[in-house]
Amino acid sequence: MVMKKTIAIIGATEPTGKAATMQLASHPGVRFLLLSPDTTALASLTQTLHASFPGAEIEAMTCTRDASWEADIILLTVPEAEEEMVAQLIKEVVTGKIVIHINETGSPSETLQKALPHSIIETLKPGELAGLSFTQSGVRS
Amino acid sequence: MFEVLLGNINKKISLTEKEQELVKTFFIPKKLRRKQFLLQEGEVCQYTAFVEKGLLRSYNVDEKGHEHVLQFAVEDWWIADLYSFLTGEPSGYNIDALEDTELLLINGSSYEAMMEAVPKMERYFRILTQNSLVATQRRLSGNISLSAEENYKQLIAGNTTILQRVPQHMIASFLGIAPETLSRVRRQMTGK
Repeated sequence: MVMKKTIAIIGATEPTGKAATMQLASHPGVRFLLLSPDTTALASLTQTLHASFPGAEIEAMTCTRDASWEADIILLTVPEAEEEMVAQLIKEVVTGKIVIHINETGSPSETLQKALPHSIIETLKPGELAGLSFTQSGVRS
Repeated sequence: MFEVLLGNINKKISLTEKEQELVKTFFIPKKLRRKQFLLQEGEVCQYTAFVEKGLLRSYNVDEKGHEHVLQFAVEDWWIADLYSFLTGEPSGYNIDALEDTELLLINGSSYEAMMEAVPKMERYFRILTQNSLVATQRRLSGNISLSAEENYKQLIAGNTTILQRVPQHMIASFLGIAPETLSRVRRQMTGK
């Protein structure tokens, strides 16, 4: 029996976040916590996901810090201009955790490296998500 | 978030402000909701967990499906399957949250790195290991030589908070007695 990994997706209703969420939601043994300031779009996305992937553990949350505290892995898909603000919100609760940062270029974010010095930051292009698998010890691409 | 852990450490050793800040960087903050698992049977135990807030139990399940509680852990306590943590063998235990819980987790490599970075922590963990050995010896000795009533008395002497927060059938399981026996012991003690 393997313990479920919890993944918080911050920016779940952004185009990149939405695509990532749809791509990952079918992963077995993973629990998803979805976050977005657009609560209407988030409720609609959650409903769509529940309909498309019955049995998947997907929950919309309102507090980014609490969701990141619960999560084992954090997927960050917010616009670049918001990265610093989100990083400041979650920095206390993501020490030692994997923060996957998704952007179009796949280039590492200096802002995140600086703001989250004790997290493991992985940067991926949107297309690279498909190859991810979530293991007991973390994430494998 | 680290108040209870630093309080626990500073009761046993003395860390400078700088050392305290450094120690914090080796721990993973983790929230568990009630009924969620920190460890499930068959997995390798990757973390030793310190309880900042909440309550957990470790237990195994026998062939008949009966649960046997090995340990409860409330605020200020550590919990793990040390055998699995130290050997890398799959665990025979489950650890789940009986209340919403806030933990600080440390894995094997961070544990070693912390000892290198803050050598005083070796002494802290040595004291913890000694205390744990003494508690294990007392529990074993109680199980083989004391009556159910005496074991219950020993439990309530130092663990009133656990007794108020844990269902009676889990207390019975921890003591290795049937829930009916625990009820009888409690009635007898009330009647005295």
